[in-house]
Amino acid sequence: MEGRETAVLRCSNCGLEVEHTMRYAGRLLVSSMCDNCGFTWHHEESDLRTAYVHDLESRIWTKPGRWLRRLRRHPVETALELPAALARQPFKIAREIITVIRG
Amino acid sequence: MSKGHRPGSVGVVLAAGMGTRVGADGNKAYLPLAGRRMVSWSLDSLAQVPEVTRLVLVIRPDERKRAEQTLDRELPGVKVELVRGGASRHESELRALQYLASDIESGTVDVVLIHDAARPLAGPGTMRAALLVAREFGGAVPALDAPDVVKVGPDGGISPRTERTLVRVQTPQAFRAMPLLRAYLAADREGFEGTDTSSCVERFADVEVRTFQGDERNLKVTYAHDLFLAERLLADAHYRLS
Repeated sequence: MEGRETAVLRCSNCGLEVEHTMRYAGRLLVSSMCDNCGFTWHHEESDLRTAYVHDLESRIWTKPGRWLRRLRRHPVETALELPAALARQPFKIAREIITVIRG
Repeated sequence: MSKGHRPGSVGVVLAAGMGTRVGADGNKAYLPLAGRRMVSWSLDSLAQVPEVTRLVLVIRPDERKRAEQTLDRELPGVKVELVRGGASRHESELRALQYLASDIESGTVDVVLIHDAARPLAGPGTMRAALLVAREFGGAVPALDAPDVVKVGPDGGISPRTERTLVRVQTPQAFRAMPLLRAYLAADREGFEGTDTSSCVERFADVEVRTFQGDERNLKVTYAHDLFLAERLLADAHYRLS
């Protein structure tokens, strides 16, 4: 998943159905911002940090299984991607932690 | 019957939204929700219903690759047929039914279950309930009481509620396949566009449409805050819909 996604949603502030920018840390939604009026929803700060730790733990435990399933489905493609993907993980997690801290 | 299709019911998930919008980033059906794209939750729930033998995903024409990648990554081993949607919800439903028409006419599809991708929390239990009610009576719509709804007259005055209870309807909505197909073909001939599946069936088909108990958690993601709520509900359910 990307750390940032956009989608058309209705804004509870300006009432328009417009693009919103969503920020994620791992599987968790951190914030959403209306691209029209800037109205922003945030995940509650303390709750987000606890939820992120649980989520990260779960992702780490399930990661080998997910890679194995991908290897079975697309062996060559996955084997080629695996080293670079593993090398990216620390940076990816560091970015997520920064996102969570900033809220 | 199409080659390789087992007889049974078909689950259709509508993810085309308003086809008039352009751009792959705009479709909320592909927003991440608790680790998978929103559309995957609905398809996964339908795939767990034993009576559902085929899954159809209605997509925007320019999102085929995005849909294929999502399905490959998040629902490996689940066969999903992709159908190009139309410019409106009604047109997308019509296209899905036209795609299934030969199997419906041959009798190998008994019930079609239509669900909005924007309702990711409808679990297998709700899907199956819709299907069983439709098999028994003809049509099934999940409904919730709407005690806070009042009738307002043309002058703005509040009218007393009648004895007929007002309800809020949800999806999945399920119908016997043949009357559903005929209703949509008739609506197409007359240029009728319904707001939801049941509105078209009620007007163009002679089948009994029954409501069954909906679920408050089966929310429709409309506002941004709905996503936060959906995420929390999924976490509370340990990411397993029932």
